[in-house]
Amino acid sequence: MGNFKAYSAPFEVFMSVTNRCNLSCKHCSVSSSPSALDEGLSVRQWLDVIDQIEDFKVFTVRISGGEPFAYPGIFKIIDRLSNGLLRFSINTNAMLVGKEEADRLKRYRGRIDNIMVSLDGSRADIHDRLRGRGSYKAVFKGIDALLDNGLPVSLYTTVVRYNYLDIPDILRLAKKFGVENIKFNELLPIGNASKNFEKLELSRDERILVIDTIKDLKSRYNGFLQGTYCDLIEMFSDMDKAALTSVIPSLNICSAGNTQIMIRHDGWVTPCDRLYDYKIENILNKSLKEIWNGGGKLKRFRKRFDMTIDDLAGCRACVYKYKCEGGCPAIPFALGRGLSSKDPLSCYRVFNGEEEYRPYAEN
Amino acid sequence: MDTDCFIINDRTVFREEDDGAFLFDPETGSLNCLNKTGAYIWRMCEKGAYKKEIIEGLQSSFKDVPEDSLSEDISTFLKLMEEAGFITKG
Ligand code: SF4
Repeated sequence: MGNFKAYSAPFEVFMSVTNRCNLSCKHCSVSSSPSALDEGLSVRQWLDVIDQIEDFKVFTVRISGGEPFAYPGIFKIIDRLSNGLLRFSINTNAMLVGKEEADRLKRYRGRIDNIMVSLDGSRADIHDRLRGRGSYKAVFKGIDALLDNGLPVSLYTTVVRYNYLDIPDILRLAKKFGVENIKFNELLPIGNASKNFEKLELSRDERILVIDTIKDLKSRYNGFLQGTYCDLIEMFSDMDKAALTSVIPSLNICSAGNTQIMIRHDGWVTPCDRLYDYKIENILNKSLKEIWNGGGKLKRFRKRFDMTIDDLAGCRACVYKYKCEGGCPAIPFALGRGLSSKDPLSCYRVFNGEEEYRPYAEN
Repeated sequence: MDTDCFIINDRTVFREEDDGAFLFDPETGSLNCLNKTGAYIWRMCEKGAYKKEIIEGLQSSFKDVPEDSLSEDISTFLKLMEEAGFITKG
């Protein structure tokens, strides 16, 4: 019998209201594009889902996509969220946010925790190379409109081969804007990015440079600079002490299926946004409560929370295992290796060059 | 006063867990974690109990705690809840 006991309900529900987007970015972790077939939930169905989320006593909702503002009923959804017992955040590319949209959002300011906008370069040539021509100019208009209305904006940068040298300038720009914080995150082999991974992924040397750059900037921009690169620095900081302990660590108990759950545009429920294709049940067939408390795939997923590092394929003999929590299950899952394999993006042996850096090559 | 009773803020979300409860205020985003005793006090407030009744109810669980000390702890808890906007004195 495992010891892991799930909370009575998630803290946060991700609602991916559409998989359609005005852009088709090369590094997107969802397979979004303007032509994506959106046979998703209607506004009425989303409003019913929100009723369920509220009855289940969830605290916050994160609206994502695709691009949420490409969903025609988005303001009906936001209206409903603001008038109930929930708070919410929005992930957006901000290109469809003009003065009118920002002005509408201002009315809900008291309920909005955060509006996270993607910015992938400090200059148009860098940002547009990933997101398409004209997107740099448009994103600035959107950010300005949001900030002019006093909305809480933060930025999100996916670090790839095209922009890894631009990190200090992106950071300076973010500071100048006056946003709340900026996240520098790793590229994930999921969605559109999985098709472009070879082109976009960093080499080992580039990755080391990024880690060193962020380590250096972190001391000057503490708290303002966030994201998975900061988590990696934290994780790797103690590895030289791995030999000083003999306690086998449990795997990382992450938020997936624990404090968080995701509902996709088509109603499929997954443990988190990264595990986009780990489909548990469809919300059109079962209630959120039944899915959360049920057996099946979510129960199987949660078994990972009772595992130790010795249970992961390839980790038992590793000298760093005493300081390692195995990383994120979404990465081996996306690579077709199941949930009980190590995450090569968080593996210190890979980072240290003791194992082949290009773990994606065989997929 | 022992005859104080409390009205809970109707926008507060009270969510019970195995080892206590969460109190969440969607207006402010404030999320508080209550232990089992805190959760019990909250449920009594929901029922409109007087402070005296809350003390009596808890005395059966904490037999070796003197009444004065229990009363003081409950007052502190209720004051904190009041300051956080979760309840108002009725
Ligand atoms: S092989 Fe990698 S993931 Fe596994 S224990 Fe070692 S450092 Fe951690």
